[in-house]
Amino acid sequence: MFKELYPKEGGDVETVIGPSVKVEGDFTSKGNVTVEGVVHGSLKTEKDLKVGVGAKISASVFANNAFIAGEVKGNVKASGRLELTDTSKIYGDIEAKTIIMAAGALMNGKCTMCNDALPLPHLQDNDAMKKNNKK
Amino acid sequence: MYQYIYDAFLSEEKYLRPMTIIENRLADLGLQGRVNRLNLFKDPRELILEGMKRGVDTIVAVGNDETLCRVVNAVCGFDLTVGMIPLGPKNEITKTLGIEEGLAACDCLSSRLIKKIDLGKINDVYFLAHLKASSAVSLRQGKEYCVRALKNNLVEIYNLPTEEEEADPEDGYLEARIRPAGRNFFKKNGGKDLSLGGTSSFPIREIILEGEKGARVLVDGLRLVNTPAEVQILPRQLKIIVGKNRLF
Repeated sequence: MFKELYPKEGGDVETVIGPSVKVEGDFTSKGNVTVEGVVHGSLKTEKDLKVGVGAKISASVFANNAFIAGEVKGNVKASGRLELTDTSKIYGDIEAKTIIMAAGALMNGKCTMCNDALPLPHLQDNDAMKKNNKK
Repeated sequence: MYQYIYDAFLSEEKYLRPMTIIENRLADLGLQGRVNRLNLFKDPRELILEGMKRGVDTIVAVGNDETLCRVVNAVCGFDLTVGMIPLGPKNEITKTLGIEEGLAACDCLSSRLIKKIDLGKINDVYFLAHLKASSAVSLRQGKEYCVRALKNNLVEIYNLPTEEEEADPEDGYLEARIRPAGRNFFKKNGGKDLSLGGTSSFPIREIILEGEKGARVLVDGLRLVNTPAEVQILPRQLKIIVGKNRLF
């Protein structure tokens, strides 16, 4: 159903968290993820993440590329590109190789940019990630 | 060698003529085999075990979706191929598999286009097509996360696609869909609002369905299972003969 948004590659699976759904806990995915609803906990995907205008995420977020138009309370890490639209609100640190921020985007936190791509979430040590989240 | 499992309702007089035509066609195609008739007291698994001792390698369900589901539940775990000859009402699953009614089903059987597809399992019951929850249920993935649907949402889990829903029975995942149960009488599907807006979609391999007391899940549109229920996918578990016009 989201073929236009994310052309489906072999073995990819897509997750859509709609506005009438609340996800609690550590959500991990190997495919593209679209969030239009509420997420509490942590959100990790090896592929791309899209956070819609009405979405509310209270979680640390890890993704390959991230497109954020909603609200995120927590740290956001993207190993590739992080795009914040004018409706986005980030209350936490952001880290990405490339950051695109539209005029009007709200960001309260530390911004770190790396020359090299950040390691994908699944390659990181779990303990190290927990420590990073606490920080 | 083929074994044909006839459903009990086929002994009704109105099915005698169509059955004779089908049996003649099967004989012409050289697809004769053992014939067993189901009834309340016959367990299809026992019939199939008996057939296997005599060298049966293909089980053909003759009847409707219920017949097919009973046969699928009975063959699971054995290295057998399942075929289908649909007759009578309630043949939605066979349409998805691209098998047409009547003589066309015999030709489909003869062409032996075999697909290895995923099979769903809820508690101890295997399912081919889908699960539909009777009221709002939550999806719990172990201790990792829980997906809570608001009240009045419909929770459906698909293995086979339908005309309205996409799903791939060869990808090793079940597709969980959660959608607001808004009703619109100008739409098809009994007024169910199938617009993409607001629909959640989760690919799942193993999940626990939890609901309020009395919440039940309809399995393949045929039988009810109480919650909490463990749902899992068994990838490429079933060898089934399909038609060219299948939906996947």
